[in-house]
Amino acid sequence: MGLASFLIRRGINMVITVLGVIFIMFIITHIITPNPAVAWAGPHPVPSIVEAITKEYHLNDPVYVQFYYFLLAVIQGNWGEDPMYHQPIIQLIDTYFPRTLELTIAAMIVIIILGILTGAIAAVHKNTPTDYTIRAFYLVTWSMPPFLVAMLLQLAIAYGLKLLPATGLANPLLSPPKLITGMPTVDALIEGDWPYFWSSLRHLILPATALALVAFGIISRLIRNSMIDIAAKPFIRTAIMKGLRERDVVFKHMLRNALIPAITVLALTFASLLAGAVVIEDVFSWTGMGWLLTQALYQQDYPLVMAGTFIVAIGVVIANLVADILYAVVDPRIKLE
Amino acid sequence: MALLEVKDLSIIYRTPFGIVNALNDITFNIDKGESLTVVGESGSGKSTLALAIARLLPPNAKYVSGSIIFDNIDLLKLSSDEMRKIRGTGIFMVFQEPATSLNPVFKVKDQLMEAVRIRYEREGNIFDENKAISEIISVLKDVRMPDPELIIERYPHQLSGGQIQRVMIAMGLLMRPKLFIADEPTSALDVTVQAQILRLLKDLKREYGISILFITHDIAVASIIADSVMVLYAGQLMELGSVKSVMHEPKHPYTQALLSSIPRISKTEGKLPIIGGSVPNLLNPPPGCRFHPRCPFRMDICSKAVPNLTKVNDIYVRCFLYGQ
Repeated sequence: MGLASFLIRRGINMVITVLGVIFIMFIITHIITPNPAVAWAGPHPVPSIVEAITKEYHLNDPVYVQFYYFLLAVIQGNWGEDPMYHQPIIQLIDTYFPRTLELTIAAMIVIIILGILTGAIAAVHKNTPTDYTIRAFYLVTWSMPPFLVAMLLQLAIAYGLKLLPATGLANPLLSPPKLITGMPTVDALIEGDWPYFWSSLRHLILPATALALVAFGIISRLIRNSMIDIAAKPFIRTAIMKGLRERDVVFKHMLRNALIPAITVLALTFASLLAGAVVIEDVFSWTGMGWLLTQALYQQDYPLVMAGTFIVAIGVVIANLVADILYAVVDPRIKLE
Repeated sequence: MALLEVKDLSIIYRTPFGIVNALNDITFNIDKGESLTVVGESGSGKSTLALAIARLLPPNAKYVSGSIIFDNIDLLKLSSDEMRKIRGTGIFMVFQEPATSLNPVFKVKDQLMEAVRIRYEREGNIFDENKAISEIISVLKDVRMPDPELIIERYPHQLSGGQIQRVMIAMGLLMRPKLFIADEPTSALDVTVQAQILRLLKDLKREYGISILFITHDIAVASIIADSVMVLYAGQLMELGSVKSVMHEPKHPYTQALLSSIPRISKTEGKLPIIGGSVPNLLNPPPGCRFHPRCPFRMDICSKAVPNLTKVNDIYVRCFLYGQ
C-alpha cells in the first residue's frame, strides 16, 4: 500500500516536472527564433522550400498548437522528423544517447570508487598530510573549469605519455558492432568483438576520468565529514568493543552509515553529469548526446534540442526517484510513503 | 587470584584550557566472579576508569603512570592489534546511551551474530549460522527478552531503551568475556526498567560466573549488585571495601555524606541532607585531599597533603581522620 501509493504519487510528480521542463524549453526556443524555417532550408533558401517547411512544422501556428504537435509526435513514438538530418528524431536519440549514458555510467563508477575511497581514507587519517593531500587534490580538480581538466588530461596522458587515445569512440579503422544497447563498449562485449571492445574501452577511460575528476570531490568531502561524525557515535565504540578489526569497523559500520547522505548527492551528480557531459564530449570528440545537442544549437535545430532536453529531464527525475528508493534500502529508519 | 589488577593508575586529559587530572593513583583488584561497583558524581573519573581499562580513551587522554594487569597481561604494554583481541571475549563493556549504542542500519540479529562470529573465530571453531541463532535466542531468553525470535529481526530504532540494554547485555554474554564492564547502563532508563536490569545483572553474575565492574552515580544502586564498592571523588579513590562494610559503616566523610543524602521513605520529617559546595574543577583541583573544601571534618593538614590509603577494619580509606 505505502510503496504503491508512493510510486503513483511520484510518477505523477515526474510527469508534471518533465512536461514543465520541456514547455519552458519550448517557449524559450520559440522566443529566440520564432521561425527557423530559413535556417532549416539550407545555405541557399528557396522561398517555396521555406514555405513547405513552415507548413510541415506548423511554424505559423500559435506556440501552444506547436507544443501540441510536438507532444503528439512524442506519443506516436517517432518524435517527428528532424529538419536538418532528415530522419526521425528518435533514431538520432537511439544512436547518440546510449553513448552519453555509457560515458556517464563509467564516470559514476570512477566517482563512487574514488569518492568513497578517498573520503574514507581522509576520515581515518583526519588532519594528517594524507588528509590534506586528498583535500587539496579534489579542490583543484573541483574548482577548475571542466574543459581545462579535460584538456590537461588529454595533453598529459594522450599526447604526452601516449598511453591512451585522445579522441573518438573507438579506432575508426575497426567496424563497429551491431547496435544492441547502443553503448559501444557494451555492444562489443555482447558480440564478443574483443578488438573493438578493447579499443572502445581505451577511448572511454580519459573522458570518463575527466568527468569524474570534476565531480568526485563533493562525494569525497561528504563521505569524509559524515564518517568523522559517525566515528564519534556510541555504536562505533560498541563495534570496537566487540573486538572487530579496524577495517570492518570503518568499511562496514562507519561507511554504511556515511553512505546515507551521499546517496542523494550521487543521484544529483549522475543527473548533472548526464546534462553536463557536453563540454567533455566536445573536447574528446565523444559523439554522444551532448555533442549532438551542441551541434543542434548551432544549427537552430530546435526539434532536436527539445528532444534532447526531454531525454535529459527524464534522466534527472529517474535519478531522483532511484535516490529516494536507495535511501530506504540503505537506511531502515526511512519508509517510502 | 585477581582477574584485574589496577595499580597506581593516573590519567590526564590535554584540553585547550589546560591539563585535566582525571584520575590519580587508582589502585584496586577484581577477583574472578567478583563484582565491584564504582560510585562517583559526574567528573569523578569513573567513566574515564572504564574507558581506560578497555583502552578506549579519546586521543587527548594520556596514561601518566600505573599499570592495568588483566588476566596476567599488562594491557598498557599491548599493541593496538593485541588489545583488539582482548576486547569482546576478554573485556566487554556496555555503555550509557542505549539509544545510540547499536548501529542503526543493521538488524539486531546481524549485530549479535557478529559478536558470536568473533568468539567462534577466537576459539578456533567453525562458524555455524544456525547454531549461532539458537545461541542468540537462548541468551536473549536469559536476559528476559520477550519474543526474542521477533526482536532479532528488528532494527534498533524499533526497540525501547530497556530492550536495547538487554540486547547489549546479551551481546556481552554471547562473547563470554571474563570481565564485564557496565558504565551506567541503567541511568537513561525508567526507574522500573532500571530495577529489572539491575536484578538481571545480579542473576547473570551468578548464572554465568563473570566478573563485573559496574559504574554508577547512585550509591543506592551499588548495594544491589556489588560485592565491593569503590568511591571516587574528583579523580581520587576515597574509599574501597565490601558492600556490607561500606554501606553500614562508611569511613570517609564523603561516603557518609553520600549515604545520608539518599532519600528514605521512613524519614518523613526534616530536610534531606545535602553536601555543601560543588564538585571541584579538575583543571585546577584543590591541593591535598580534593574533598577538603566541602568536608565537615576538615583539618589544617587536609589542604597540605594527600592522605595515603589506610586500612581501617576491612575498608581502605583515604582520609587523615584515620591517622597517617
